[in-house]
Amino acid sequence: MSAAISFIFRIIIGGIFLVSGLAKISDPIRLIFTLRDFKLFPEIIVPFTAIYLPWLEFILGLLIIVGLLYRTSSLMLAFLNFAFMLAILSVIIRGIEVDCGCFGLLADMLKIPDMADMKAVIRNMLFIGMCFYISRAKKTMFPLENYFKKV
Amino acid sequence: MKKIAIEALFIMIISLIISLIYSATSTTGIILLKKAFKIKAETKSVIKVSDADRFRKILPRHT
Repeated sequence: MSAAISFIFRIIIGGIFLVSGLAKISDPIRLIFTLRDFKLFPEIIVPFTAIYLPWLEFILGLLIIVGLLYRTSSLMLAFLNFAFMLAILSVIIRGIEVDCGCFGLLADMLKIPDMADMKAVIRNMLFIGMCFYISRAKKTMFPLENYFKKV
Repeated sequence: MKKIAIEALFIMIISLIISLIYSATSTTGIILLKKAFKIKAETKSVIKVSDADRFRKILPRHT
């Protein structure tokens, strides 16, 4: 049973981060504006983060879906989500209204609400819970890791 | 714990390499890379002053 739950969580979390990573990769300029709006990072780091972060999300999502290094990937994604959550909380506390930039272009295309508010914080907490479940689950279905171990 | 740290480092390095390669091949990416590594953008004028003079001599004047 836990293997099936872990597999479903893997598909959900992996799918979300794969797609959101792709959406950000296709529009890095938008991500730069979002990062600037947050007023958390120094200007030197912003372009580098806009290049690197979407690819990290994409690769972590891909690894979780295919089940390769999925325990480490899910832990990394949990920490990443924790960082996003802190950033959104800081914006809420400072009373700045900005887009959270979580889904990049996808938010416009699918008309998903993408504001940095308490809903985004709760969503991130949910993602963190799922990530910890994936990393702690003893078994999961169809991990590619097992195939490599046999070979 | 050590295994997780090594795997995490591996994933981070792989994503760094892929992101740099991708950025180096896209127009927006190159601009961002230049900004990230503080490389001054080269500004090349399309027509040099000497070229403009040459065109003026070749092209017929308006009458």
